[in-house]
Amino acid sequence: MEHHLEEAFLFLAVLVMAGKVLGSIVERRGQSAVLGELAAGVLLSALGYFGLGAIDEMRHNEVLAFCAELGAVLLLFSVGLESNIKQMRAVGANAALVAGVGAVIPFAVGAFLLGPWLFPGESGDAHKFLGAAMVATSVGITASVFNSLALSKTRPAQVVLGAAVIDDVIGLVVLAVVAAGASGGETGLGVILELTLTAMLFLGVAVSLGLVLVGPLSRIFSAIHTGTGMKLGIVFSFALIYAYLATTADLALIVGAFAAGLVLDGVRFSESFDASPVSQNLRAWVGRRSEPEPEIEEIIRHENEHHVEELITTLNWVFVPVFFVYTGLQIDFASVLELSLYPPAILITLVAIAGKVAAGIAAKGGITERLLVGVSMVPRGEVGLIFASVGLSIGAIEGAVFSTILLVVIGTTFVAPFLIKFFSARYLREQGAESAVLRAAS
Amino acid sequence: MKKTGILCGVLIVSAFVVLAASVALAADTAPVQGAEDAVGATAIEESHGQEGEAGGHGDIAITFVLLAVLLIAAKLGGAIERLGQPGVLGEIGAGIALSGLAFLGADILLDARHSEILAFIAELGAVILLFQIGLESNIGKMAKVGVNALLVAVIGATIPFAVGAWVLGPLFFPEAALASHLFLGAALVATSVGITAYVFQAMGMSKTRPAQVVLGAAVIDDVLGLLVLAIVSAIASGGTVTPEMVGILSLKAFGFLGLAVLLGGLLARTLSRGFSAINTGVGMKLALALGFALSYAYAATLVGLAPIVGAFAAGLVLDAVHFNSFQLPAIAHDLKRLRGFDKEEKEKIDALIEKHEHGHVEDLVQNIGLLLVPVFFVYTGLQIDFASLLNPQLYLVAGVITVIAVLGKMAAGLGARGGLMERLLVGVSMVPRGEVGLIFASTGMALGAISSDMFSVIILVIIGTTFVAPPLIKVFLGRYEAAQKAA
Repeated sequence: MEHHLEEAFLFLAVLVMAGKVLGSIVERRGQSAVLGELAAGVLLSALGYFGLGAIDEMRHNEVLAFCAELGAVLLLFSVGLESNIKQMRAVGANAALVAGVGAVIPFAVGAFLLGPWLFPGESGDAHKFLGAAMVATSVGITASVFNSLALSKTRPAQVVLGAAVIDDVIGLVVLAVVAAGASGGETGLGVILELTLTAMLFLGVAVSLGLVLVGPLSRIFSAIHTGTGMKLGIVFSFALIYAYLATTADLALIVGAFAAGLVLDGVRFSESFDASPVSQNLRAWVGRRSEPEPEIEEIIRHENEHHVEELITTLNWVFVPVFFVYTGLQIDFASVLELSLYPPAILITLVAIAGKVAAGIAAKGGITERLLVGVSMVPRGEVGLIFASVGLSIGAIEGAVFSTILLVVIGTTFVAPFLIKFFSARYLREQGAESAVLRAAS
Repeated sequence: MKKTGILCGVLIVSAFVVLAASVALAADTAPVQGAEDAVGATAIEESHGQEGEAGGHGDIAITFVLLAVLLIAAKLGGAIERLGQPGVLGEIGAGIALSGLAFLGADILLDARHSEILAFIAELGAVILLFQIGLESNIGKMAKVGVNALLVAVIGATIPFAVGAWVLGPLFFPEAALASHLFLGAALVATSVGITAYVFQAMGMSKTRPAQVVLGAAVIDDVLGLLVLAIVSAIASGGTVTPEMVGILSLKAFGFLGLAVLLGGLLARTLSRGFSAINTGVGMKLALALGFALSYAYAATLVGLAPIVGAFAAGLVLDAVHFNSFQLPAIAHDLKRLRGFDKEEKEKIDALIEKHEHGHVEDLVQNIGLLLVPVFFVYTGLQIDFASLLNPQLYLVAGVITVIAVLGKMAAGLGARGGLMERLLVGVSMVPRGEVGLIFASTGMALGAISSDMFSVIILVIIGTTFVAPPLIKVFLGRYEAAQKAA
């Protein structure tokens, strides 16, 4: 056990630094840092394939798995912090439509068209798994790109996040039903309804209960101690507990973390706690002066409003890259080398992208906004990997189909940041032009 | 004051009740959920089982809750600061309270006690803590207080260690092996810099000569303590002690620290130049600092030292200078843009900026430490076997050892310069054992070198010394000031 822990220190250092270095290099080339972080993981995986034994240990290290999951939770939590319930409610119906279309088209095409056509020798269950793996959306990647472009508060970002939450519910149901079908279990309408209702119930209860609880929690804990440690500790624990609660409804951890961020209003929560040390110093300095200092007041206000987010951001810097590098590391490099699988994989990847883009068409707004929503749903990431590994472990899929799914996951995951970045830039330009026209008109 | 005390008490108790209830609930619902799944859809349960095998998804979710429980408990325990006691005490106390709940049947807390991931998170907390202490210590400053602090530190390390290992250990734990006696002695060596510094700061005495001597001695104490720990751990794993072994181990430990510090300076400069060429952002700065600390922690284990020794060395090596090529914190940017102030005011703002610039790496690490360090304290408290605390004899033993631990450090104070009161003040200021002592105890426990009874005794002694120190320091500080005035 001791030995285990010691290695984790090294692994963590490698993951943090490799992610940061490659991420930064890629970022300087104008791409999203996520790409570099994922690439760092695949690179490590390649090293493992070429004989570096430590990589395999790294891949199966429990501590790293935990830190990676923590990174995903922190990421979605901070995205949730930037959004709020009102915005989500406003985009709700639209998001549901996007999620619905984005689930049905890829599943139908994958399970009933591409599957039988490309893998005629495989069973129907394998085809269905292929379809199911195309349903998933890994919103972590999208969220990270949105975050770095400061887009999290825009309407398309809100629609995508809402759709991703609903997508997770759909994905959960699809996976359960397909897996049940493959292993001869019950797949009736009752099961589907039960799963869906539980998930919805969780989201409803968690959000409404959270809204009621946040105020009293902030008051009680700030009565005990008003320090920064308390503030950060409670906010962080809140995210962790919500993440756990989501799993009791069979939802993903990150869905719970997102809900926690949605419920928690950083500014209101901070009110009863101490201000950050810097702004305290500034405040004391301003207090000693006779005349008011609007500029400095503005800096203090800004600092205070963002203090909770800043504290979480420091954690994000450490753990989020770990998540992406670790996800990249999970990709079996051997499947990357199976060239014969590339034609079907590329075809499926294209369909997987087209399916989600079609879903985006259901969104509101101009064509660029719709396309942006669509491409934002493209990355399958770690969710796709989970689907594939469940299929493999219950024996529904094997060798070729599994490797193909992996390649599709890699393809969508690596293509998406480019696409998102491209369409975001266009969207922002159009928005800018629009507001300029509006300003000119008024 | 009394009112807030009572309020805190009520709050803590009620919060623990809520906590206990929620934990019990969590423990209850887990199997029920499984049963529901079995009735509802066997396939889902099956797929979950597989998922558990593949990624340990369910385990991770539970670990999240356990981490949150430890963290909330730590924060509740922090209420003790309101009563003028250091937060560490409350955090250990919270851990012991959780251990009590486990004893009363909250089985899920037993999972927390044995969770490997939490063990890692706690150890990461200890690593971050020692990294922070290292960052704050400065080799140059240590040399300045020099001989006097060294003398205080050496006496304060030798007497408690010798008495602990060769008198108290054999007396109270006659059946235990030599290694566990050595651990008892080692745990009495290190002074907690944090608590001492905190009390001096609160009394506005940080700049006085005794304070400087104490802080210098405390840092040297840490280094001595870590060396003793390295040697004692090796003996505990090996089973035997020979003079050559001790010699080799000392050489190894000194060699590692020396080499790490010498090479580290060079390495840090090269690394930071390379990394800042790629990206000068704040995130990179933090990644570099943490990566450095973690690598050093691992490197220490390669030569058979504890990870914390490496982390301390990493902190000692890294200096603000190494991060000059990186960006400033965002607020410094904002402040630098300010215009329209006259020269004198501009200088004041610049001083403020520089203060935050200089401490920026420390600030960044501290944000992480705020979460992880309390987890370490609670986790250590949780490791106490609550049943052993029900044995009244234990308190007697702990009480005697605490008295000796206090006396040992007061003897060390006699090695200081100045009048009797100043010497005594230095002595009592070295009394709190705190964090480093806890790390010793948990290392001994992990190695299987000490029994759970001895572990409990060490924790109690640490609590005792930490508890009596602030009032003692206050008494002698008053006398010292009076003596100064009279002179």
